[in-house]
Formats: sequence, C-alpha cells, structure tokens
Amino acid sequence: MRTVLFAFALFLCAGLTSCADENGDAVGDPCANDYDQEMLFTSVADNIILPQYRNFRTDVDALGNSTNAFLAAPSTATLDALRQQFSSAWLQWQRVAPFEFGPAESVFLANSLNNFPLDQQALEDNVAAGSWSFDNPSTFDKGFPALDYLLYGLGDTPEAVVAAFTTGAQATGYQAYLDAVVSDIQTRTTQVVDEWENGYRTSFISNTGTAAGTSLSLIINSLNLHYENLRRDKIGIPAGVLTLGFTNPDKVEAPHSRLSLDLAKAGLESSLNYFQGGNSEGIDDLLNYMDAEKDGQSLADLIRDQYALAQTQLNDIDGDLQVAVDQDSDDVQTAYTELQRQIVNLKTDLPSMLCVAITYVDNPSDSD
Amino acid sequence: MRERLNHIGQQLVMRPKRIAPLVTFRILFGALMAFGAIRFMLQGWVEKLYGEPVFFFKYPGFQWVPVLDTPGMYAVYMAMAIGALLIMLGLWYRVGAVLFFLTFTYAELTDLTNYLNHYYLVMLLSLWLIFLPAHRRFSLDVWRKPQWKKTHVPAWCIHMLMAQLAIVYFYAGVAKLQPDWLLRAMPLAVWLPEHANLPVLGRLFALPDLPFLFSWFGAFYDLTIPFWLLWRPSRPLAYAAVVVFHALTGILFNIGLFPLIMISSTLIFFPARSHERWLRNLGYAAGEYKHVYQIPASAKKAIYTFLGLYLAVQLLLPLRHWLYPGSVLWTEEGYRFSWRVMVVEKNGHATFYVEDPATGRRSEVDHQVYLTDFQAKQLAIQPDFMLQFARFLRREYQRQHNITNARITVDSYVSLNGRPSQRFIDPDIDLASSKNTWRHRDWIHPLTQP
Repeated sequence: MRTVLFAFALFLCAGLTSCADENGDAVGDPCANDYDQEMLFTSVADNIILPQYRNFRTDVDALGNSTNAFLAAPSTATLDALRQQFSSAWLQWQRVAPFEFGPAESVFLANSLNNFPLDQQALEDNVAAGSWSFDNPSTFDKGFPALDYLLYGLGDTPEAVVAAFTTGAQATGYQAYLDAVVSDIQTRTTQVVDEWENGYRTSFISNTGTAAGTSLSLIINSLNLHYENLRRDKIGIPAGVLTLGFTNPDKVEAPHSRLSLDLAKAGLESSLNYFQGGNSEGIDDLLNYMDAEKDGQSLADLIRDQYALAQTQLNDIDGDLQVAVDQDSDDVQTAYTELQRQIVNLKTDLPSMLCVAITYVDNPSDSD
Repeated sequence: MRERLNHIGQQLVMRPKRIAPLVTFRILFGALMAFGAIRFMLQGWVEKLYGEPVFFFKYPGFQWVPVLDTPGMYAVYMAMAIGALLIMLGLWYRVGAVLFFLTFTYAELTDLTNYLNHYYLVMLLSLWLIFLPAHRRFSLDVWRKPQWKKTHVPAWCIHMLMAQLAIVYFYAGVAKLQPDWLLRAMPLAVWLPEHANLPVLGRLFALPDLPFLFSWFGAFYDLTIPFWLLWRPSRPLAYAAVVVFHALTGILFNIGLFPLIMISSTLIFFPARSHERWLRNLGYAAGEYKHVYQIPASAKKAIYTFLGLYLAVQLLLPLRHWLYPGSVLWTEEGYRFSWRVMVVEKNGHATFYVEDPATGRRSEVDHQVYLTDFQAKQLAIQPDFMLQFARFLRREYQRQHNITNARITVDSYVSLNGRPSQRFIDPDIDLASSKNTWRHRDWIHPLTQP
C-alpha cells in the first residue's frame, strides 16, 4: 500500500514539472500569480486614486469657502460663485466615486455625498424641524443632490434663490441646512483623503493576492458596483428601462442644475480611467499580461472599445437628460444599451479572468 | 452459483454483526448535527436565508412547501437540534430521528438556492437512522428499557452506511474525471492561490504545479478511498488520509461541517472491536453474551428488495446526466444529487426582461427587488431557477401592472471554470411559457469553448 501511494506521488511529481502550454505559460497558473501586483497598485494609487482625491478635497474646500461667502453676504454674485464651485466639485466627485472601498466605504462616502434622486420632502421636513442627521447612509436628503435643490431649486431665477435664503419664510433654516450639508461633505472627504495619505496607501499597495478583500478584488468590485449604479441610476431609471418604458425625468441626478448628462459623462470617463490606470499601469495591462482573450480578441481592447461606444452614444444625447428621456428617447435608449453591453465584460469576464470573486455577492452560508 | 450468491447475500445482509460501529455513528452524527443546527442559528443564517428573501426557489414537485416566518424557522432549527440530541443520546431515538429528518428535510425544501451536496448526504443518512436500530446499545433508551439491549444487528445496518459513503466518494471521484479538472486543474487553480497569504503554507498555494497535484490526488483519493478503507491492511493509513484530506479542505474552503461529517462517518469502516475499544473509555462494556436484533423472516424479502432498489437509485441517479446532451457542468441538467463537489467555478449574470404582448412595452427587471444577492448569483447560472423566476415575474406583472401573459426573456452570460463568458440562454425564448420538465432544455446554448 505504501509503495502504491509512493509510486503514485512519484508519478505525479515527474508529470508535473513540465506543465506548460505552447507559449511557455504555466497551465496551472491561469491567475498570473507571478505578476507584480504591487506595481499595479502603486500605479493605481499614485496616478489615479490619490491625485483625484486631492483634487476633490481642494474642490470641496473651495465649495466650503464659497458657501461661507454666500452665507455671509447672500447675493446673486456670491450665489453665482457658489454655483460654479458646486458644479466643479460635483463633477470632480464623479472622478472619485468609483473608489468606494476602504476609507470611503467606512464613512459611506458615496451614499452620504450622492444618494439620488433627492427626497425633497425629507429635506423640507428637516429644515422645518431644524434638526437632522446625515449619518444614516440610506436617506436621500443630503450631499450634492441636496445642494442641487438648495442652489437651483428654491426659485426659478438666481434672485428668487437668493430671496429664499434671505427673506423667505425658511431663510434661516435653509442657511443652516446649506451649511450643514457642505460641512458634512467636507468632513467626510477630509477624513477619507487623510486616511489614504496616512497609512491606507501603504496597506493598499501591499495587499496582494486574489482572495476576497485583497486590493485586486477591491478594485474589481468597486469598479463593477460603480458601473452598475451609473448605468441604472444615472441613465436607466430616468429612461424608464425598469418601468416598462414609462420615463422618470424627475429621477435624474441633477434635476435643478441640469448637470445630469455632464455628470454621467464624467462618471463614465472616470470608470474608464480607473480601468486603464490613467496613462500608466492599470487593470487593462494586467489583462494583457495574462493574454486574456474573448472571441479571439483582447479582452482589454474589447472593454475599451465598449467604453468608447457608450461615450459616443452619451455624447449624442441632446440637451438636458430630463428632457431628452422623452424628446430624444432613441438616443437615450441606445446609450443605455451600449452601457449595458459592457456589464458582461466587467462583471463576468473580468473577475473570471483575474480569478477574483464578485464579493458584493456574498455566500451567506457554506458551500461545497 | 445461485447458492454462492445466496451465501454472499447472507454474509452482507443478514449475518449478525456487533452493534458498536453503529453506536459510534449514532453518537457522532447526532452530536455533529446538533452542533450544526445551533451553529446555523448563531451565525444568523435563519434571518439571512429565510427572513430576507421574498421569493424562494423550489425543488421540482415541492413547490407547495411553505416557508415559515423567522420565529417559525427558528423553531424548526430548535426542533432539529433537539432531534439531533435525541439521536446522540439514544433517548426516544426513533422520535428523535424522525424529528431530525423531517425538520432538516423541510429546511432544505424551502429554498433550492441553498442546495449543497452535503446537506443531501445528511438527509439520506438521517433517513437511514430512522430505520437502523442504532439505539439498541449504550443509549438512554436501553438504560430506560434494558430489555431493548442488543449486541448484534443484521450486517446490512452497517454495510448500508458504508455503501452510502462509498457511493459519495466514488461519484465525487468520477465527477473529477473530466478535462477541466485533470488537464487545466480547474477550479483549484483559481481557488488555491486565494490562500497565498496564509502563514507558512501560503507560499505553496501560489505555486503553479500545486493545483495539479491537488487535482490528481483529489481524484485518486475520491475514487479509491472506499476500497482502501475496506481493505484491512490499508485501513489505518487510509483513515489518516481521510483526516488529512478533509482537514485540509476544511481549512481551505468554506465547506462548513462537511469535513467533520466525513471524518466521523468513515469510522464505520473500522471493525467492531476497534469501536468497542474506543467506546470502552466512555463506559461501553463489550458483550460476552449475544442478543441479536431479529428481523422477522417475513420481512427479509422486503428488506432485500428495498436495499436493492435504494442502491440502484443511488448508483444510477448520478449517471442520469448521460441522458442529456452537452456538458453537465454547463447545462446543470442532471447536476444535483450526484456528488459533483467542488468541480465548478461559475460566474454569470442574467438580465430579465418583461414584455407586454398587448402593447409591446418592454422592461428590464430589477431583480434586487425580489432576490437576495446570493439568490441572484445562483439564478444566473441555473436554468431551472430561471424558469421559476420567469413564472414568478409573469404572475407579479399580472398582479402589479395587469399585464396578461407577459413574455419573460433573459439576456444571460456565464463563464465556466476560467473560460471567457458566453451566452447561456436563448435570448428570444419566453421562459414563462417554457415547461419545467425533465426533458433537455434546447434553449440552453451549448458550451462552445473547449
């Protein structure tokens, strides 16, 4: 018996030393365990995540200053300055929105800053009651969508908005609420960027491997979650794809400032940028390193091409998204279809090729 | 010839064998199952698996099984734990065995999503325990009623459990005799590197040859371990292999109690004197006298027939996938109840569409409204789940939107064992009008990548 087992083991060892395919790649290494992941994570952290977060912190601080200036002396001029800062901060938010893991996840950054559509009634109730808390990630009364309403929705003209903050019945309430929303954005953002700068960058870079919780798995999962939300919330729901084609123009991201389409475009560009690692090492390079192919084509190229198609279609949409969903519905539908086509690449092929599990689909019990 | 067969039959089925292996089995199985039921509750899985979902996938023929509310399901799991303890103690043993079997089977029938091969094994073993006189020695029942004590049971009581375990192993091995497992070391080549960060052993798991070593050894182990356990000279080494193999898989994979179930159940292969030696430490007195558990002569024929039928079903059921075209790993036709453990890493996504035939209006379905993430994950890779969900959607859209005979289609892609994804289901087929039968589902696109 011992001899049999020993002989079997010997046979295995002999057979295994030569397990390589015609390209010389180890057949037993479909997950590219020899790839230098730390280089990839360093690139993603230093070329994408940290610079974008720092830009965002700068924008958010500027938003805070403009808010203070407006509250100190409400006028159409200070409102205009504040609106400018608001739109650049919101656009910049789209560039950091995909990084919802680690520090961002622990302060619910995405939910706190950009839950939409806004629950206007909840906001008004908060203002009327004079008390609120932004710590519950599942409320829709805060963040940029709240600012969209406060800065654009309280009146049809800038004068009317200024009036709401100065002479309106709820003027002091709105002032306090505006201040609180902006402060909350600032606090959470500062905390996240601080964490990245003080320690998290280092642990992110050294967290190699393919298991759940490793940096590769965090990147793939956050990329997917962001993309799915972008597709569904920014375009799909307003376009009525989930509601038998009955459109929901009121559910766009920015109904009052009318920035919705720009925000969607920025979000898509940011997703692509995250995938490519900007101009340096990114997930696309890892895919190419592994020779990941689908239907005889490079998977990295397929994904990039699909991003480009979706971008083109988004650019074809005319005017405001909330108008376009009804007036230009063909273009909106086409854009959605192109966004949808990417899902299989990102959600099925990418994790399969890179050997990481989609962890936001968690197995709640045992498996076998 | 006939006489010889009769003799073998007599030896394997009716000959009295000492009861000790059965006693060990009863005690360990009961203890493990009680632990399992309590663990299930403590992990919060009752809420997660029965409280959170609004829709449940059902086993064919068991669509009628209702799911109780969360307190109700807690009661079921409590009863399960009590049944298991009664089995372990041998107190009101048959009641305990029936209680455990019924509660466990009920819990499994509530949602097909949670199907696991080892749950199926537990169900079969507990079904056997109802009929086996495992409480006739070293039990509280015998303490209560000493006249119940038996020292010997008919051999089939022990051999049947051996056969059941051997079938599990052997078919688990057969399921590994396919190119993905043997030639690509899939899915182990994906799963093992996940443990590269383990202390000490971690570095090993990133070695490209290790998945092959594990795959080949695993197949060899599963196919042959029953025979090594049966053969006296190899038994100690074989059992050591059982312990090491299952301990390792227990550390590496999220497979719950399965390693412990196998490590304790395979003790049945040891002879009675070994069991008596172990049990003596617990106060078991080896018997000098002989009280044989008697089977009435009239029941013998029934027992032979039943054992024969049971074995035939167990041996044939895992082979039924041969009746279907294509890869069973891909189509999952004939997949369950076949001991196909750990051979698949599947990743898919499915988008369902509803179309109103009267107006032509079409809608994508946000499945998050109806399904937990785990259910959705299973839905994306199992065609019969899709049929059930499609029917549910048709009813739901009738109820909510007054759409009659809504067409339900699916846009679905699956990646199997590291292959690029490919389309899984015919996107034009109306799933809500497709029958859920045992016939081959020709709307499953065949696996095209080698």
